[in-house]
Amino acid sequence: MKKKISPLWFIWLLPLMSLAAAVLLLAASGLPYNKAYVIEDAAYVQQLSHQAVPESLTLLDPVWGSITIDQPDKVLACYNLIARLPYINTDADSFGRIRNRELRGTINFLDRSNIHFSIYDNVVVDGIVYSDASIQYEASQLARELCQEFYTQDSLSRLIDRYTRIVLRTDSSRVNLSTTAKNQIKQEILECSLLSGDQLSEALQGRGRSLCQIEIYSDDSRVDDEARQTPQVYASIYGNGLCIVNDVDNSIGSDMYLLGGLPTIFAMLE
Amino acid sequence: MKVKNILMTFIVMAAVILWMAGCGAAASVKNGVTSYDSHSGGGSRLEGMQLNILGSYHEDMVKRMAEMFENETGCSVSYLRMPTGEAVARLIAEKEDPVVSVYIGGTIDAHENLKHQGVLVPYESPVEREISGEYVDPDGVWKAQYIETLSIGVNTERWKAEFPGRVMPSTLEELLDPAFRGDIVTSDPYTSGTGYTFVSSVLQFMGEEEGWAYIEKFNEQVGQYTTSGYTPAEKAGFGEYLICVNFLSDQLIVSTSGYPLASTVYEGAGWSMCPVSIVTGSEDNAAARKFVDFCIGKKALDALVELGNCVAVRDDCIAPVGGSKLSDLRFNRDYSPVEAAAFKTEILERFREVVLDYH
Repeated sequence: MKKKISPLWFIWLLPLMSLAAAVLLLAASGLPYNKAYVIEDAAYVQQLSHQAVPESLTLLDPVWGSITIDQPDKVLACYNLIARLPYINTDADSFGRIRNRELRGTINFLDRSNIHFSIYDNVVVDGIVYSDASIQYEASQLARELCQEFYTQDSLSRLIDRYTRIVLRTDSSRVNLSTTAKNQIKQEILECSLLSGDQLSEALQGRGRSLCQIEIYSDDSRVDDEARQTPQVYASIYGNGLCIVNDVDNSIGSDMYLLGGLPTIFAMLE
Repeated sequence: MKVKNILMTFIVMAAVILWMAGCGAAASVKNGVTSYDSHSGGGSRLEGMQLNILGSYHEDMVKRMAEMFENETGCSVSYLRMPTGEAVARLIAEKEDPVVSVYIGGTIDAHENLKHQGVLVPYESPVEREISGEYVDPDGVWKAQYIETLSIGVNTERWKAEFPGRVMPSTLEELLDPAFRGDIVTSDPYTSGTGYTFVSSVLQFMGEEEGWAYIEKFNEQVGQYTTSGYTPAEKAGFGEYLICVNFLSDQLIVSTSGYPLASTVYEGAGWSMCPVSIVTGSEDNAAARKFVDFCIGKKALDALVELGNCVAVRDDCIAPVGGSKLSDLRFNRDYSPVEAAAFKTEILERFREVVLDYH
């Protein structure tokens, strides 16, 4: 009597075939399987692994000053962009401006000389101009992400110092703030929270008309003996505690949204 | 029989392996932007995908759109912000090898120009049915997000000090008063869609001959042309200039920020729509399509109104601060932004002759 074979008998072959395929793939790929390698000079290998490790990033903006970034993802993103820039001649076609204000920076390494760069019309690294349409998008995105580090309560409060002219502006008056008032506002800004997402929507919808503006004149040079009329940075203060910060020279639109009490400002308005 | 069974086994296994390999082949990569076949499933999540967009409205608005879309879909978005004229030049230059997948903002003439040059492609969004037909391109390329109308802005603080008791200018003719010479700021029609809307609307309102004569005289009054359409409002708000001519939404941003700028939508004021379009080469890019759907949805348009004080094309959106919703908005319906787009090259050429090379 002939034995009846199940139509699914070959299913048992599947693991066997997979194993065979894996062995064949390994053999064909030439991977260093079952081989020993001797490192001749451990110190040299160690140097290789360390010589291009970016440690931190120092940024310099003409208005917001200097900051150091040491978050590895941001430092590496900057280094990676610079490491694969395609070289062009300086007279190559311009792709338009990347930033409205020059951002300078230095990538600091553990065991090699630092790299100096700037992002403006093009990306310039250690004096060499680099440009490419696709790189420009990346450079623009990177510069914007890096500059977010400037748009914090901490950086804004640092702008308010004894060297800076700060004007409290309302519909009816312009008052130069005293050092004492500036110090109080610095502290109050530090206590504000940064807004985004739904919280920002809620604050924007309930803001009404601005009560006053804090104008920051970090470069107070005079033209024809007249004080500078346009602030570098201004913050509009609203009745619901919203504070919208605009970096005038750099961007079209607002840059930072804060929510807080600012009692010194409200007391001066009364 | 035995040989036949073994043969069958190999055929079945080969089919299984081929099918499994096929599951991963729905993605293709071009210029660093991954395109996925939209029929391969995945719902609205686009994790692992990258979308490059070029935007011509305010940077905070482009940024908000990008962030909201990233949160909603998981797609990573890179963006670059440029004035309309520069964006058009760049998209045309990159036509053969585009880097971006979507162009948002800018004025309608820019999208029309790019459409006719084959830089933008049609896409039928399921969301466009929720918008009135006049705000969607009949050729299926652009979909408007909001509309904006031109306005005269006057710094009220300076006006009270320098022209006490006088009524502020509210017509095109009144802008030609010699007292305002050099104290008017507007934007350059070459780089800015706002600037071009002003020139083309004057020509449509006054007729060609009278219109060019007006532009020539108006040029005598202008102290500065800016590359961006927003900047004139800011400069007039700060008091650098007494008067600005640009879009009302930009002036409202400055005035609601507390700066003394009074706005008047004058007779014959031009207007434009700010649309979103897909760039040629990305027509099958699922992320680009989803982004367009997202951009004309209520949530995105409400966010644009919050930041840009503009009038959204959807009537279920919120109204701008100090402004009105689309159904209540009065604007010059005699002006055609699409007609303005059709004659852009000729008008800019004439502008160069009449104004830039005038002296």
